[in-house]
Amino acid sequence: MPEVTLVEAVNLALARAMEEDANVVVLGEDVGVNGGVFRATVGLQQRFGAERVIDTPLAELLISGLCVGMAAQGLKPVGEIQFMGFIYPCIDQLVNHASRLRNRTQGRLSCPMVLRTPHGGGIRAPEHHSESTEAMLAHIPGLRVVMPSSPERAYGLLLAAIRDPDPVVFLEPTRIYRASKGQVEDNGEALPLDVAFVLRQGRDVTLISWGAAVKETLAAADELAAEGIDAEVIDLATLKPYDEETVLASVTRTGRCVLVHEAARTGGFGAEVAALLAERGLTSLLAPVARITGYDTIMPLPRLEQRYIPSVARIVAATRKVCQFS
Amino acid sequence: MNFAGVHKLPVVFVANNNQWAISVPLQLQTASQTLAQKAIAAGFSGEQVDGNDVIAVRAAAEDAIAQARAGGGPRLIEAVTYRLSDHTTADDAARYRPPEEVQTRWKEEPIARLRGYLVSQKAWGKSQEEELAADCQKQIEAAIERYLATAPRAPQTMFDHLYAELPRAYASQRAELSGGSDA
Repeated sequence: MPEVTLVEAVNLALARAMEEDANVVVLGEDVGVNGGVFRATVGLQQRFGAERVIDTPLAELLISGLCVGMAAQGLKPVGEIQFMGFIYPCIDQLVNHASRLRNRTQGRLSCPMVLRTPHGGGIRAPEHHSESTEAMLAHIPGLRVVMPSSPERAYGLLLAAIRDPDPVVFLEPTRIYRASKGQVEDNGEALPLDVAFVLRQGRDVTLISWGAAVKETLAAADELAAEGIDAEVIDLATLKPYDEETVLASVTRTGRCVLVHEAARTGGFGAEVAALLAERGLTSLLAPVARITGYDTIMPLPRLEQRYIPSVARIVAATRKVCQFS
Repeated sequence: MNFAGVHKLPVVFVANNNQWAISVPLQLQTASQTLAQKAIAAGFSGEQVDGNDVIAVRAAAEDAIAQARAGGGPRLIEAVTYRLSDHTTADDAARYRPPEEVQTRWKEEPIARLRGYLVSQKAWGKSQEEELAADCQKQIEAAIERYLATAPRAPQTMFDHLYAELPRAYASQRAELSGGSDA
């Protein structure tokens, strides 16, 4: 099986989706001739033509608006927003149109679009290029928010997102675009949406994360294992709607939960999961739920960004503390 | 408009320039002499038409649509008119514009102008207008009756068209609205 990076897996999924469905079109800034600033769309315009791989002006409201219009009329657009910090003009289209077109027309129209964007920091980028505001999007009814944490899941989940009959925001963890490789069979097989992935089974504590932070979370679980703490690791993968049952089943067994995300703490998606545990998992809990997150600050510039992003040491320390309760 | 210009799309843009937002007049919204000229920046033509002249608006629209259909690209039509009414039933336009200004504009009211023209051409008369008004009234009343006779939908139907298939995560919320025990 070929070994590919996460961004190569995105490219494979896009090519596969375009190959199997002539209605799939790709659009965004620099996605055509240039193949995208992260090379996610490299080779697609040469292969599928400029009619299906469309270079747009630098106008994110346009990109998302075109996606809504195309999707409503039967195409399957996949828009690229160059960095998550540029996605905010699209919020208007996502909230006011994409997420509610089906409801507004009582099912006569639908909006099967995907909006892809790199997510998070850690690539020594300037301001606006390291955003992780997924909770904002996960608050929108009618939308799906999906974030892979490995090449395999990038391939399988992006295919699922493109085939899904409803709008999906697909957040690609920039920091691990090329950090490691995974075995991806380009066989067109999708992975299920709305389902969390248990990446490691454990008895003592449940670590829940998504996106690039899954990497540090898994590394923390390895370190904890050496200390005799057996951690289960869950990649939430789809944040909206998220897999409450897998989360509850795991925490019911372990009695402890540490949530790890790169986004700022207040109102972050970890708060949603913590609330679920307070509502439906309280009697199973042996310890307070802990959150290891970015700080409630603006994402700092490159010299400090590693101090902002949850580190293995912070996850290990928090988990140790949670495991002292019994 | 910009992207429609780039790809020469068959689109006709219509700006219904009624001079007012709710209370903010056009000169506080743009320094452009016209709205039609905004098309120049997008690389296609724009034109002003007397928006109170039904026949002129139709002619401009027909021409623009024919051009778009023939592959001639987009056009912007600025229909210059005036908002004679308050913006909503909750609005009192006398707060921000003199009633005299509105009064003078009533002379250009498009339905009256069209009626005047048709009558002068002997193409329209009082009995026809009464018949049309009665027919419209009947249609409105029928629509109101149909609405009043329609029972409100069950509350859980607010979930019906949220997604193609309701995600499992929201089943309990839907059940809560149906009075089910799953909540």
